[in-house]
Amino acid sequence: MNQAPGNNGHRMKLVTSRLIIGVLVALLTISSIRVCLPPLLSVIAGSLIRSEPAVQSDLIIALGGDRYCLREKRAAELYLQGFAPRMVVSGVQYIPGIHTGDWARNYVVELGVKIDDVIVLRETWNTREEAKRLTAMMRENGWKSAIVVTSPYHSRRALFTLEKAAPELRFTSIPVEPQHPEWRPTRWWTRRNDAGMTVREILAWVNTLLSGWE
Amino acid sequence: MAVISYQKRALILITGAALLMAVCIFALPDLMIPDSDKLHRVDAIFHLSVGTRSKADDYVLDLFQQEYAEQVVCLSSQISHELYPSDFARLNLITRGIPEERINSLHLAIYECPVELVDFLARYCLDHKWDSILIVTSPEGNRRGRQLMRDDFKQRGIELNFTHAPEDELELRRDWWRTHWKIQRLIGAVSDLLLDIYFGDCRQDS
Repeated sequence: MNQAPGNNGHRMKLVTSRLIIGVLVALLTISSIRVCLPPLLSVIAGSLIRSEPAVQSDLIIALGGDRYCLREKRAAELYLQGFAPRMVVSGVQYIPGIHTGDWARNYVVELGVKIDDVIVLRETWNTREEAKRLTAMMRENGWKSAIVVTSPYHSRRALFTLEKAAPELRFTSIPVEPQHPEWRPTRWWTRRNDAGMTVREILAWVNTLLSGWE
Repeated sequence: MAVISYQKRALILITGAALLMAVCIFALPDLMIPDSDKLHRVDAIFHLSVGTRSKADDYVLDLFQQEYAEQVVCLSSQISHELYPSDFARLNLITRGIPEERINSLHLAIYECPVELVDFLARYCLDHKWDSILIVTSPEGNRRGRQLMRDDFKQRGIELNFTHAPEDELELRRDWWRTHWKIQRLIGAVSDLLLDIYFGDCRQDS
């Protein structure tokens, strides 16, 4: 059936205007993603960090697992500034005869911490295990508060885990400063190590929230 | 012909994607652990599987005693302040019979870019005039090692073979989906592999 020329013209106009709207929406979406995604990704990484002002506590713990030993170094600085009378370092039996906790203790003693003030927390294979052992030790000794020193990307999850394990105890998070080469939250997706670390930490959060593998 | 509605199509697509993901997850060990290369005599064995829960020291000793190589090099980066597990693997292997002059411990820096590590190792081989190496990796590190190193070494005239301790593979595969450290290691291997692909040229924005 033939259509009136007026109808064809109307349909053309409709198609053209839809096309223009479609292109505009696509452009707007792409540019929004380009503009909003980088700050959003940086905010996501930044939200992994929990940092608080230092307060006098019963102990300072440097959580295990940092091969650069920045956690132990920061914890030793806080001990030497007098924020707690004792320090806990943590580690695992890496190979027979080699315990990373003993190595961490030797390192903080080298930095000036009194050997009698250092306690080694052993067989802390993951954050939840570390939280269980630390809180059990604190309860046994009647210690009520701890400064927790860990890597910045790990700090919020570590505190979440500790507070869940012992809501009656007080924990203060003082993470290591975000720095090269360990990890930086700004534009993390552009650097290999930082990208790997951020994605793994997000996966670890999912596992923690689901109370998954331990 | 019956027309499938958009909702049904979406449902089929989502179910298919979920099934594919589940299959990939359950196939993780098969995807990540390739068979070891055929063993033959080489210039040196690189022992890269030093660490927790590994029986690779026994495996390396066995390979040495079967005369697959005259030299063994244990390699590791630091895991705590100046703590290199390769030093202890070397001592362990010396006490178990490898002559001191036939085994070294090589300290690796913590490289941000694996290409730098590959270059360092290739230069080390060239300095020692070695043109065939047997690399003992962890089971889940075997595939990544091949992907990362083989072509580069081949271009420099060095033949690489990869293997891992069969006992380590058995242990890793046993109830892996229920064990935290096994899942962690497998997922870690996948993410390293993907990062190697994505950051292949090690581009870094500061």
